[in-house]
Amino acid sequence: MGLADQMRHTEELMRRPGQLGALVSAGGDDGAVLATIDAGRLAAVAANHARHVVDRWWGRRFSGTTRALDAVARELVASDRFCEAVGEDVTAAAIVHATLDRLDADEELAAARVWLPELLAWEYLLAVGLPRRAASEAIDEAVEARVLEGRGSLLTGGRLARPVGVLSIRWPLGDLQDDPALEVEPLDEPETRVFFMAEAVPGEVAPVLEVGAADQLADAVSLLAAGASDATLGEAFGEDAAEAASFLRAHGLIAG
Amino acid sequence: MSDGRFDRFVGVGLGIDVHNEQPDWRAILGSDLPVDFFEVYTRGTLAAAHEVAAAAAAAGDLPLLYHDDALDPIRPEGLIAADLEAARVNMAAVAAPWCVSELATRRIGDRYLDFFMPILLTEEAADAAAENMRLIEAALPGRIVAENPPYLLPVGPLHILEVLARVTERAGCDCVLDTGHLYSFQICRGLDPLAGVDAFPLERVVELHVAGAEVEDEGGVALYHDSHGAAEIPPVLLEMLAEIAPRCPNLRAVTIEVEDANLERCARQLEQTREAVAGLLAARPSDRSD
Repeated sequence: MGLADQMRHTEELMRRPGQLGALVSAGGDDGAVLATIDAGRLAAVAANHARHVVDRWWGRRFSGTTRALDAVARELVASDRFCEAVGEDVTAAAIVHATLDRLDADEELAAARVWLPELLAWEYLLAVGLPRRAASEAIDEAVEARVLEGRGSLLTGGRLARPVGVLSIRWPLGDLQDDPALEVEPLDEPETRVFFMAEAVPGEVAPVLEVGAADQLADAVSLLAAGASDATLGEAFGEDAAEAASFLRAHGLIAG
Repeated sequence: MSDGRFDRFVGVGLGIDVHNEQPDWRAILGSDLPVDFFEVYTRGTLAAAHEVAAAAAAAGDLPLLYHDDALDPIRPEGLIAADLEAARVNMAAVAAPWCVSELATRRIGDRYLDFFMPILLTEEAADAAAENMRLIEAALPGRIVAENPPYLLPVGPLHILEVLARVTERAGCDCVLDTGHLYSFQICRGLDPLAGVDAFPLERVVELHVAGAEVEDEGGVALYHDSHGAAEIPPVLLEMLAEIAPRCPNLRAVTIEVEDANLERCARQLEQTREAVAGLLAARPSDRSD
């Protein structure tokens, strides 16, 4: 015990101020140092800190998810998952795992289970998965697998010139992102959408494009990621293959 | 060791972060604002410091200081070699006589923190920081100077000025006294703005900082936010500066940290700060221009 532990405890208290009493009660040199903390000030600083982290780390990239969870989002800083963040949670490990853990465990959030994971996956694709892949930045494969499980995929390689995301959508995600308290109905039929980065313009950040797609297009993307030739596409989709290939070529998504 | 042009009081300069769009430091160099030096902040990354050095040289050889917030000198685990090397290269690029490092860290172990954890207020923490400061100085092409960090939550029984005095004594280094950071600590402890200053070895102070700030009420608790150029300088900080500056016999520089300020705010804060230290500016040798 000593300085390193005291610093670690201080950082933990910023996220879990309720632990102060127990740490002080443990006594010893560490307890004596931590006993100098003003509990009222700690509570205020911790609340301020949690808001700051939610706004700065996730507010822009996961605006719908954080608004939907509101107070829960601020509690994420206290979760063990928070410590899995890389930098300011650039890979979204903390928010994805903590959100899905909480949804699984908290019966009060049962109503959100049907649509919030889809909103989270959508925001992940738009703000993390595609932009980071396009910039050749590290991806947390476990996070990506969990957030996209049963909902879609993110494909690269083969004949794809750029990463392409595919998501099956059942909810009006744009409306939910704007107002998660909105009572919305699921879509009449699930929609398949593909996502990809627009071609970069020098000096500008390329936006992510989202287009509704026939199932064949999503399947064609999968085949292209596996390196399928035009002939293979033709065998798989007949006349629809030409249309899919034309669309993908028009957006610069097919290499070769 | 000679501090070159900082061997005597140079005047009032601006702390600029080369990664920020505001203020436009190139526009400042081309303006008639009364800036006596720049303190260059780089967050430990390379290249940008070289750009500032070249521009400053082209704009009349403006003196430069260097400020590195990536050294994390309070870590008991010790220093990180890559950050130390970046500081060495950057400092050499700007030919600064000293490098300013706050007694704070953004890492616990390998984990990045979203806040700048200030030094714990204990003797053990002061010893660890002093050892790190000695190692930093040995690796740099100039001196290391310790700065008191901002506080929202003091941990430990000592006053920050007691800790800063211990670090400078044990490391044999000088210091920067940041008036806003000191005020943030005094707010936490409910002390007067200048509490502890009389007992502090002010001969160690080579540089003073002022910066914009806001005090937020969070459930009845005052939280000091060190906003730099994103806010105005609270009058109390200028009063502290006016009181402390004449009592620092080795004072060489007064820096306004203006990251995120526009040129209008820079001009206003320069005027306010120069007024607070007008006596020192007037006493400079006549070969210096105001």
